[in-house]
Amino acid sequence: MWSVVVNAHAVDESVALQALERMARAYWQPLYVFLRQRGSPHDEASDAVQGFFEHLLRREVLQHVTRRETRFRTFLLTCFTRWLSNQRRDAHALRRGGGAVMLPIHELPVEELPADVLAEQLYDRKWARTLFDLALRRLDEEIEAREERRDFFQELRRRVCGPLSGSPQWDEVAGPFGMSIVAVRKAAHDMRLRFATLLRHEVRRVVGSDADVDGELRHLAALLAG
Amino acid sequence: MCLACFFNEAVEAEDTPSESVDGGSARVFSRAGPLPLPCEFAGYRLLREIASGGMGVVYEAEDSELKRTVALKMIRLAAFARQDEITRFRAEAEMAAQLEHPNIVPIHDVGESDGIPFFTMRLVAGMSLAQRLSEAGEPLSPHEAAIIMVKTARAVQHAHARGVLHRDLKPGNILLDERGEPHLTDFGLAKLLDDDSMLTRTTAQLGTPHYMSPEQAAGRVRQITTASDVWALGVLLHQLLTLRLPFTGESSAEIMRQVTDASPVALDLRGMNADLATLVQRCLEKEPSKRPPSAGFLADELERWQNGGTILSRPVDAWERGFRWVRRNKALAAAVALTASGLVVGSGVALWQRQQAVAARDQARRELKDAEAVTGLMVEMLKVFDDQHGGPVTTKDEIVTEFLKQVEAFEGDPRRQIALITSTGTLLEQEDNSRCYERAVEIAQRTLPPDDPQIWYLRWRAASTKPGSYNRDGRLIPELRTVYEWHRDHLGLDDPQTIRAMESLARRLVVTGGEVEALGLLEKVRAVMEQRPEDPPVSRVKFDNIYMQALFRNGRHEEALSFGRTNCRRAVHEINPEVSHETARFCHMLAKVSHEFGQTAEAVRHLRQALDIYWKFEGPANPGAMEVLSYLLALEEALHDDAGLLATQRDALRAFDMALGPSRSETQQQVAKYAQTLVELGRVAEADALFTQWLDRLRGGDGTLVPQAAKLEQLLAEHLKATGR
Repeated sequence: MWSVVVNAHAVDESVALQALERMARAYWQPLYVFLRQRGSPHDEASDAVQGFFEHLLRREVLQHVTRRETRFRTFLLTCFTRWLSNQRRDAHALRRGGGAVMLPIHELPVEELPADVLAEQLYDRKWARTLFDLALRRLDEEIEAREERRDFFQELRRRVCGPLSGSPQWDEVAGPFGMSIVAVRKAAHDMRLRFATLLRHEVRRVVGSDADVDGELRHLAALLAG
Repeated sequence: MCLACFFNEAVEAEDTPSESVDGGSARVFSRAGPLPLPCEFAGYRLLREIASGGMGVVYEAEDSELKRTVALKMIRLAAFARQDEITRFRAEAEMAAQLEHPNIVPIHDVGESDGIPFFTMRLVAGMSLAQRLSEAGEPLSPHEAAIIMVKTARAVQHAHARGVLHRDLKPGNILLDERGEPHLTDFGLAKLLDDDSMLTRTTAQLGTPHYMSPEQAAGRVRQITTASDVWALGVLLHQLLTLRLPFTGESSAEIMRQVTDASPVALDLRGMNADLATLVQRCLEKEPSKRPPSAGFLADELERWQNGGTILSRPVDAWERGFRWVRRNKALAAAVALTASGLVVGSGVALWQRQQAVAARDQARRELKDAEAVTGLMVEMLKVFDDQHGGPVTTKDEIVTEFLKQVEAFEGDPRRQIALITSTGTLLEQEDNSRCYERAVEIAQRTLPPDDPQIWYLRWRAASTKPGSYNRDGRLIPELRTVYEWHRDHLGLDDPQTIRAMESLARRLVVTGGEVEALGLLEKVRAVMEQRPEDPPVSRVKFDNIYMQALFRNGRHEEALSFGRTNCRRAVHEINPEVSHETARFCHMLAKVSHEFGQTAEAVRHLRQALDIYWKFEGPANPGAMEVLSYLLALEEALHDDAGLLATQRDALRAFDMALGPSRSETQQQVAKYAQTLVELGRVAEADALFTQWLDRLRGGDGTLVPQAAKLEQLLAEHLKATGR
């Protein structure tokens, strides 16, 4: 998807804009937490994100994207901060563009904002979480589409990358489904592998080329570990 | 939940193809739950992990019942496979389990436990060829490589004959036992789940692309046949001999692009034995039908090479090479084309010298103008090869037509125009294309004085290079006679050009009822040839052949046969690879003469000799070779020489396979004929197997027959009916 945007000159502009819109819709949350972490209250942050969203989908913006922008993540944040400062310089109050609510922004309680973390870092973390959630949604879709053993895989999914992933009790799955523990572990292993692939797919969508995938993953992994 | 772990795993999930000898193998998941060993699985006790790669994990396991140690392989992502895929995997694995060959790791058990398919096989103590290569750090000797390749190719052939494709041949799948014997593993299995599984689409799961054939790289699953395995054998041979992979790149995508686009002649085969290099190139043909027809054929070729014999595969021939080369390097081609026409370089140098002399200035300007015009013309010509400009043209004929069209535009010195046209033949390996000469004659007659020797030289070339069937309303003989007489009257009877013209006339006369006059002329040619044997005006082999025919047609049969025997033997002995087809034609003609003289067995011998020469120097697909082959088949049938006929039919089948490929009805007819002979010899089971084998070659990746198999199926039905089934 990001490849489409950076190659906008080579493809139909409206196609590139559509891609950009789809991506912006998926990734507005990191921008919101970024502003909240910088101290903006909910209303201000959500208005800003909303306004930026409209700004982003103008053709002029597209023309400013060059092929050197290898990551949508950094592009989006740079573009956002530049837009914010322009808004302030022009002494306009942050305002919503057309007034139509386009993004369902729910208020994040202040207590949930971590202390001692830079806004940029929180942006990246939220970004990673968004990627993870998107990949997880894909996995759920795949499991939902299965014709056989759907229950087993749903149960497995809770333990592989869901609420129980901390200390999965494989025997609790093996027993009810009449399977050996080895088979369950193997299935769990396969599921993690599948999930890893789906995560790669998601990352690929927001970087400019295949070669950038590993770098982006490593960056996010290091950030999350730190 | 450790989010960072998931991101790290996503990095690990990718198998970034490396330049390592194994072509890289997917890293094992460090975190995502390797099994706690030892553990029980499906009646086996898993002891330790032996290997893991993109496709699965192999454990050393103990068969709890039989108390033997085996290797157990679980397919990666198997838990995510659909039921129908598991069923297909089982079916294929069971087929692979039928394979019994000393160089194939036997499969003991194929099973499924809680939705996880697995199979067990013999545990081979030793190392994989990949490990061997990386430990040795240097290529194998050609001899060593050939030994391993012959055995591997035979094993692959064994599987192909039973309808099993390997699909993933690479050093990691070839295990070497303590004695260094290769054992192939993972037949048809590893890739199977992968082929069209909805789940596996990243490079990691596609495995290393280094051994992938273009049809595999392009994802044309249904086009994957035995030829795809032959491709991989070519990659393997290349790697054993050089330690390098033929197609490399930074990323999988780049490698796949190379696999799909890079020409086999672009391969760096320097230092490689010429015959082995030919085999590598042939295996790495983009077009599956151009590759060696089977893995068994490749093994045969390698054995021929090992025994010091001559391989049958011909090098990627000069024409193909030239054509590909021109496409590859247009600028260089332009330079050579100009040099070949002997114009720009020559006149360029002359130009610089002459420019010093004021008196020659006008001449220099004309030459410069010509040189510019020629350059422009060549550039136009080379655009023909260029995809960007609406090309490429694909056949020799099209190139010649296009070239002649371009030359029309040239308005310089007519002698240059003529030289350009006549050099086209040399440039394009089109020596006997009389179209170019005809056009040159037209220009020459328009622009040069009527007694200019160049006109007559060109008229001789145009007339003497006409194809055998051509007779232009009976005007060819008079034309050749006029040309000969002009040379005789203007240059004298002893001039080499007069002798050539005389021989050309005689050559036509022999086959058009003028044998008496022809023999008279040829005696004169012979006398001149004997005077200066070191510099004969006409090719000795060509002359001997036509002289023998002239003798025969004049009723001097025994003399013709005796002359033919002596001189054909000498010609074969002194064969010149450049004109080997002339020697082959001589043998062919001698066979005809022997046959007409009633010496059928001798005729068969000469035909075999002709065939050998054709195959050695021109390749089985050569039209002359095909002609000899059908003649040979007819004679052997008439002789009731069953053993000979069988051998020739087998050769014929190979030739048809190489020339036309298995999907053509001519090849399929040949299969049926060969099968029929087998039936007549009481070898019905072999005949059946032959049909099965050829039908298998016409299967798509999913095992179903391609539409072109209809004819062969029909022939099989006839075969079954004829044998009372």
